[in-house]
Amino acid sequence: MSNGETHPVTAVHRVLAFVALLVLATISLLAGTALRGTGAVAISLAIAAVKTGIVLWFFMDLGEQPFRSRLAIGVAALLVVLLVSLSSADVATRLVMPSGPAPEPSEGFFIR
Amino acid sequence: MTAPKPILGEQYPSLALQEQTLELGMWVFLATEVLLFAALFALYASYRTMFPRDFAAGVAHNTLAFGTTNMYVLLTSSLLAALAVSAVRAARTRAAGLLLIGTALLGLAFLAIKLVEYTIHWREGSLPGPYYHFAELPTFGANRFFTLYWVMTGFHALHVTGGVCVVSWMAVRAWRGVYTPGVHARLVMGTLYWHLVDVIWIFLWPLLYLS
Repeated sequence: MSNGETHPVTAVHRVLAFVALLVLATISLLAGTALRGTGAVAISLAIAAVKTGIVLWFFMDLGEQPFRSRLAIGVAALLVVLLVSLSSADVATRLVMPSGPAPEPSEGFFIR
Repeated sequence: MTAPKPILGEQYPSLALQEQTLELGMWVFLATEVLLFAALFALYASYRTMFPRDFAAGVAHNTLAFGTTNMYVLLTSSLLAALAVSAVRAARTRAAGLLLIGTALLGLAFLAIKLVEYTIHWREGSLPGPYYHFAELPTFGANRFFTLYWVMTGFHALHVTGGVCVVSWMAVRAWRGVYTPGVHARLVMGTLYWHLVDVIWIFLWPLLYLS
C-alpha cells in the first residue's frame, strides 16, 4: 500500500526473492531436460506455482494488501485451477459410446 | 521542474483512501486478466490430454534457449520494477526512474527475442490453424500445439508491449518526481501489471518449451 506506512518487504528481501526465483528456474530447467512425460509437466508446474507465490509475495507485496485484494486474486487462481482441471478431466474421461439403433419413425406431428 | 501535486477525487475523503481504492481496482483487473489466460490454459490442457505425443514433439521442437533466456529476462525486469517501488518509498525517485527504464529495456529485449523466434516459425511453416505447413510434424495434434503456441505467446507479447509503454510512461513520471513515498499508487498499479506479465510467462515457459 502506498499511504506512507512501513513496509515489511524491503529491497533486500526483493533481491533475495530474485535469487530464489533464479534457482527455481534453473531447477525447473534441469528437471525439464532430464525428465520426460506427465511427471515432468507436473514437476515444472509445481515449481511454477512456487515461483508465482514468491512473485506475489515479494514483488507484488500481496502480504501488505487488505483481505479484499487477496480475495480477488485468490478466487481468480481458484477458478483457473477449476477450469483447467475440469477441462482436461472431461477430455481424459470421455467414453466412445456405440451408436444405438436408429429411432423408429413415430406417427406424429412430423409425418403427413 | 516542479512535480505536479496529486489530485484528490471528490468522491474520496482522503488521498490514502483514494490510493487504496486504486490498488484494489488494479487487483480486480489483474484477476480478470488471469481469467482471460485461464481459457487458453484450459484449451492447452484439453488438447494436450487428447494429443500428448504431438504436444511433446512440439515442445521438443521449440528452441529451449529462446524461452529460457526470456524467462531470465522477465524475472530480472520484474526485480527492477519491484526495486523501483522500494526506491520511491525511500524517496529516491530518480533511481526509480532509472530502474523503470531498465525494466522497459528488458521488455524490449524479450520482444526482440520473440520476434526472432516467430521469424523462424514463419520460415519453417509452423504457423497457426489453416496456415500450418510444417513438414517435420504433419499431424493434427501438432497443428493444435502450434496454433495454441501462437495465440498464447501472441496474447502475452501484446501484454508485454502494453507493459513496456506503461513502464516507460511511469519512468518519465518517476524522473519528474511525480511519485512520493506517500502517494504512488499509480506506480504500484503499473508494476503490478508488469509482474502479472512475468507470472504468465512463468507458466508458459514450461508448457511450451520445457516438458
